[in-house]
Amino acid sequence: MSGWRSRSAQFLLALLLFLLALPWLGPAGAELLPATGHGRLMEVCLLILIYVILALGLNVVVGFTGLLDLGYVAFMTVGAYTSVLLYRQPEWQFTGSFFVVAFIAGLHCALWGVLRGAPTLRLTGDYYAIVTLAFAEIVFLLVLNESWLTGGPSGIKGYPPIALSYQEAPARQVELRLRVSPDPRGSTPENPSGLTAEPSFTPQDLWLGELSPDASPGLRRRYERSSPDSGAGPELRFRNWDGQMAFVELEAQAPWVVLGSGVIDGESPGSAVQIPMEGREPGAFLKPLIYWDLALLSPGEYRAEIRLEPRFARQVLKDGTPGFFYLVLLLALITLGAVTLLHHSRLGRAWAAIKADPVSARSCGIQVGGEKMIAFAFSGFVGGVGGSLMAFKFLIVSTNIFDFWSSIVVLCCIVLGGMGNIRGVLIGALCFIGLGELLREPYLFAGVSDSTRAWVENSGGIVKQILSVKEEGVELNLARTRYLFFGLILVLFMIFRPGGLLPPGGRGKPLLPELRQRLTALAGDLFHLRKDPPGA
Amino acid sequence: MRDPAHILEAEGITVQFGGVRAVAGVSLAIHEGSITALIGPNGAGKTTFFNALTRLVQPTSGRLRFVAAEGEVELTTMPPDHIARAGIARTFQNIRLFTDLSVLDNVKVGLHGRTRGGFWRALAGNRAEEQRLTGAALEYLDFVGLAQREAEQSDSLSYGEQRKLEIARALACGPRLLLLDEPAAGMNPQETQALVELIRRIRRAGVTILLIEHDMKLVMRISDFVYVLDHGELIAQGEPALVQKDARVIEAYLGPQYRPPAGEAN
Repeated sequence: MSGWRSRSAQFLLALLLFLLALPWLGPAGAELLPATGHGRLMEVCLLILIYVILALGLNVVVGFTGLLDLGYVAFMTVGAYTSVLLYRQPEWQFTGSFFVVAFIAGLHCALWGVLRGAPTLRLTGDYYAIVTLAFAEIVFLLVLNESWLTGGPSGIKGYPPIALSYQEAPARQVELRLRVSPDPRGSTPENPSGLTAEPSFTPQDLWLGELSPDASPGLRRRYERSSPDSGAGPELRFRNWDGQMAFVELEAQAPWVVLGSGVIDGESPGSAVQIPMEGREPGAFLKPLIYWDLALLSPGEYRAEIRLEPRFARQVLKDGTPGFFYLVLLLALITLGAVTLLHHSRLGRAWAAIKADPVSARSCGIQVGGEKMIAFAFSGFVGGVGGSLMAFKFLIVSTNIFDFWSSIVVLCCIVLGGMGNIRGVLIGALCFIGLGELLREPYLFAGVSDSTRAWVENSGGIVKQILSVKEEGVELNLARTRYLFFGLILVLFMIFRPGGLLPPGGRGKPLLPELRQRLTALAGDLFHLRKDPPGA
Repeated sequence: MRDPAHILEAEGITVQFGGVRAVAGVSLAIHEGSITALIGPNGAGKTTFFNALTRLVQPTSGRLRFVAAEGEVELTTMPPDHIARAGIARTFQNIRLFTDLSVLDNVKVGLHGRTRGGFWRALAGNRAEEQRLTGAALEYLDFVGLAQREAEQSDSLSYGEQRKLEIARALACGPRLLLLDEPAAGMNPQETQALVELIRRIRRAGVTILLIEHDMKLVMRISDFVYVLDHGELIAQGEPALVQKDARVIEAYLGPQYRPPAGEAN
């Protein structure tokens, strides 16, 4: 027992060291996932770690307390949108560190966990599962339809990456010049003013825009710039030039906010600076708007000044950087520690008793409702933090990311690993998410004979979905059919290992010998290899 | 309490399930420190009475007064977990252990109501408290003779051992009144003998016992007082020897036509 224990401790230590070293593995790591290289390996590990957090949180309700929750995505959604909206609301001027954001998102979800749990305390089994499913659907529909807040189906994007701390930076002055000159083509139906305008900005480092090639001249010009590092400065856009009005939209990406007012030099009728703007579309931050009505302007140069008072994020952690990876690793370890402590505490035993037999738990003096509420709140909290991490991983939140399937993925991690067993949940997340990402990778088989090539080329159906002929060989790509494999794996588990890889309470027989025994038994049944036992 | 020697007084307890009166106006009293038996044919309402006592069912009417450590309480308005904390623990007719948990953890769950510590305490990782709990739980296991089996899964125990574990778990709740629902069911004579010893030892430890039992030999041997239920009504009460001769009791068990053969009625 103790030998095994120390072996597992060694294994965990080795795993931790590997994860700590992962961002610095460099080209050596590229060997492991050849198709897309080292960055991909770290990304996969990061995703696994996020799912470890989520699965550990869901496991508190499903594995410890024994209530099937099919709607965990509700908490992920609420957590993700809460943290994103916190940063996005310019009125709040929120400049908290990510830890504060994640904590608020977690608390918000814990509140919803309690609100969902309170009326359903008497429900168990399928009935409880249905309620959780319905709750997730309500959240889904709310997010989808309340577009004023959530951006609706297109979701929210363009918010800043995680920042661990903020510092004040000095205010900056932006000067905008608009040179208005007569259009050589004169007045046209598209451009009745017969004027054309060219904007320019100082200082130049705030403006890296290019005229997008699809903009038809005179009618609609669009400057787009994607900043390499949104935390480094505000992003300015010349947005909408429609021939009658010249709109200059300064899109200051948070954490920069436009607080000071702007002035237009040489006030002329039909020009103004609006701060803050109205009709902000979801997904964008403060957009101060400067507009000139060309119908009221004469050729010449116009000048506008805008003052930017930034809240500058000092430590920005973006997806794909070691910092972000370590942050997720840290949170996963904290969650693991908390869940382990809870599992082996008086509270954890109360949960296990409720799972085993609520009636006799009650007769042992356990306040079943209260202990369940703690489980709901904690599970919701972890789900909120996990959802918040997902929001900063993908840098977009939308109903496409947080759909019913996400609940099922988290649940599958638990079922696969062993419901209620913490180690099992870790292994389940590793296997299920890792496998899912592995199946996305294309694999190239070089040196394939011509007949095989021809066969691949001429076959249809599923073969065509997973195999394709490339110049160097035949490529196997399971990305589109990976859900098939998930289904197959789950079916195999229901047959061979209904308790998961590591069932709770150490009830599972050792994995490999059992598997061999099962497979030989199956083969024996199939091919009548087995002799009847003596005396039968 | 009408009598200070009583630990429990039930007054007109009625439990109605739709049209069925499982318990019909039962009034009884239990002396502190006694072993009291509740007997009756199958379906007489004994277990329902236990359930009403522990509020697993809500009595339709009636009052239940119980002397808890901190004074007299009314049980009919208390939730089940409060009743357990007030000092009434029970076992179940069909054993209800926490089968996923180890033998030791089953008893530790029993200690739940007498200990403190919720979420934050758990996160603080209270190792000393856990060790204290383990020590206390082992004492209860030792009391029923299962100390060697602490690490096993509770459903790997034999039937008789599971009964003992259930009793240990109930004792861990620190009861003043212990309700045993057919503790000897399915036991062989040796096991029953050991059970009698165990029940007596529990009583010596200062716990009042109310038990439901079909094994009449056991009832006659250990109980100080017997209540007889039939069709939900209390039909007889008294010391075991008297109840045994009661005509209504014999009728309830054996039917109205039965006449004991001369000289055999004792």
